[in-house]
Amino acid sequence: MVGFALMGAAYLAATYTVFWRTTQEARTGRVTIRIAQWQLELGVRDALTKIIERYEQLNPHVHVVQIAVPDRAYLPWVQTQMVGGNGPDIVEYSFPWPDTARNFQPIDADIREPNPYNRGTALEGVPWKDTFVDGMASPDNFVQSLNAYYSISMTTGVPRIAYNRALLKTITGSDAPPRTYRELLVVSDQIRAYAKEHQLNLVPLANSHPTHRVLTDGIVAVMGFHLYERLDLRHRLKIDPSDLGMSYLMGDWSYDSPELIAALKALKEYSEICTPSFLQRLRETALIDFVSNRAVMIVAPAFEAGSLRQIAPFPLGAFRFPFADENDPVYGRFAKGPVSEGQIVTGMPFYLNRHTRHRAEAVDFMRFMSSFEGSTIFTRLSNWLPVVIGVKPSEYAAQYMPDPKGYTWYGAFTDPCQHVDSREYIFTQMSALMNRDGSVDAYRAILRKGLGVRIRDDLRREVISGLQNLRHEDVAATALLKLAPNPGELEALRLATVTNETKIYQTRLVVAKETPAQ
Amino acid sequence: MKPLVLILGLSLVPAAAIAAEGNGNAGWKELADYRPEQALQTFGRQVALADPAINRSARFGRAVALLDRQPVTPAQIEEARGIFRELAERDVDDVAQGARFFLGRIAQHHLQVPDDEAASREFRRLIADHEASIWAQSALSRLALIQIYALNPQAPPQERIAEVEKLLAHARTSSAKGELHLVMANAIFFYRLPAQEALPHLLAAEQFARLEWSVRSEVLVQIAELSRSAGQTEQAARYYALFLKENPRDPRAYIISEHVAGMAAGK
Repeated sequence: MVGFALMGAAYLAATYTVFWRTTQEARTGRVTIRIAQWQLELGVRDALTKIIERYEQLNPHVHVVQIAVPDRAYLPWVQTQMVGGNGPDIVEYSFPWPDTARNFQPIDADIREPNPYNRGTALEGVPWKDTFVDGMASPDNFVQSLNAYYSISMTTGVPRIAYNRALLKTITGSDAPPRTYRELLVVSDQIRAYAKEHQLNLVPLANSHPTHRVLTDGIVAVMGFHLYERLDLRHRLKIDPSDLGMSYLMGDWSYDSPELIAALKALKEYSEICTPSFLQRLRETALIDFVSNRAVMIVAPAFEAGSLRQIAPFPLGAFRFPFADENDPVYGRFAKGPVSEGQIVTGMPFYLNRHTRHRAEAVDFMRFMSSFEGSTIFTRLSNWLPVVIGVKPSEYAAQYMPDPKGYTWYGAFTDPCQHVDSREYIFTQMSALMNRDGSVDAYRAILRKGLGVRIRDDLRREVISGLQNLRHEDVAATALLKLAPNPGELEALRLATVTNETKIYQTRLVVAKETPAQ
Repeated sequence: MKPLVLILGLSLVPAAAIAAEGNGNAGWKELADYRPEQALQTFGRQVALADPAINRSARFGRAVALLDRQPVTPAQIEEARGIFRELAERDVDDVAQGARFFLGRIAQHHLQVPDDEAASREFRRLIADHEASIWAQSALSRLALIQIYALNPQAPPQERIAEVEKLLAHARTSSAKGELHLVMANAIFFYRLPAQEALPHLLAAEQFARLEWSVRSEVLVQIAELSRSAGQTEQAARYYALFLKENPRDPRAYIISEHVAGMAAGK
């Protein structure tokens, strides 16, 4: 009996809550929009809360609700909400995730207009698109497969080596970071000698499974400069990940190429200055090693910047990993510098729900978030880098500012295809190289045997998703033609681009062909 | 008072929906919003209407929606194909042309195993019967892809590209011309023919087509790079400058500035 009463009470409470929420707008006259995100790092939620407070001050008729969901549960949560028709108005999302076109709407027309919240700043009158440091060229903003702009970003960043200034000075006599690759190796030797002399559990560089990849990609890319040049058969000064996958299957390169053998040797050296068994360690473990004085330096992605600052009980410094360059006595014939930190890939992208009932208010809030004022609030409280032109990062975050000056070829040899199978194979097998008893030859033998089949599977997946996108776009293009006010003035259907369609044919041919690199 | 307004408002929704359906746009709006399930229902209701024009357009819409209703099954693709076939054969209006386009498109990309011969046949007939229509002009570059990559794979790539070049005679719009040139340039790179042969096609694509931003930026770099290797330094400099003007934050700016400096130094 009590059970029934409790169930009844719970039912009534739930009904009341649903009723209260669904009628809130009618009762208060305020529009409520919801924004979902997964950044639970210290400071980021607070920054968004502050942005919302300021926005509501400027727009009292709008109420913004922030929904922060842990990253591990985030994607299933978003998908469930979207399928159920209860998706938030604004959603942090990412272009490789499924159903972008189905769940979200393009913002092409909006970004061509100036952002009204930039009035009175140097960005007044500038189209919203051009107020971002990368002109919204990041793959999350301009979704190439859909030929449309879908999101605005909040931050960017590159990995840095953060270090304990006091400890470095104690060991080496100076708190200045190493400037070259050779200096890094010398400093690392000094740290190891100091640890041995004082019988300390101390290593040069704290590292972990998720964080080591950011430098691994860079080390391999630096050594591969001349190989990239040879592979640029389309004369674009750029190699897409799928280009790398296809050229691998066509036998144009492998991990037996001299440039990549050198890269693997450099990776072996890199692994030897890191925490033992770092390939199995979590990001949090590396942080604990560092703040507990068990490592002098740590591989620190930009999103770690704010948290590190709050938890490290010692003065911090940060420097860019000194990649080998053409002056290096060992790797100089392969490496070429300066190394660009690549296209500024922005992050924390927010997409607009295709079915939002409050499009105008949601877009308006997105404008404020990414305005000069919104971005300033964001960087000040989160210690993450801003992506709006002219906004100054905090002093600490400034050390994470990407340096785009230099060479970059875009695609990574460690991620041919940008799909999961080949990437995971390359990284999960890396223990054969980086473990104490690992070697360059052992790792090459493994890749020689198993990489081709993974790349082939990844490219097959790419063809399937390309075809799915193309079929959706066939339908949408026909609908847009039928809805056009003056269809006679249109020259062509707005299908997926012919370049995207060409890629499907070419990939299919390469995948089907028996090639040396199986 | 407000609940009453809400109830009254809700009661007006079906009437508004029916009114919107009257002009035949409701289903297309749903398809533009990637809602094929709802569009099928909307078109289904319109199919029952007596007006032959609405009926015909609704059947076309229904077939288009079938191509995207998830999960897509071979049976529903066949159902769509049946509708398109009937619409294409019975008339020569815009619906018939669209239906012919989709007969080609289904054979090209919607079947589990593509039927390139059939796709080519449908596109060719569309181009022959209604060359100036938007459907035929859009089909030209898609037919070119089939000819280069799918039909007659034993023929040397140069021959296949030469066949595609003949399609230019049917291209009435600058978009269609530009796309055909782009298809040929990409094929030259893919089959590793002398890269310089791609240069005139890229120049034409840049001149004719309203290229998407991402495609255009690549074409500008390609023209500049190929011009530089051919010793056409003025043209190279012009296209490098155009690229940098349109893409000031592209990371290739660094290497391009080196190439420009190299040309200036006569290297």
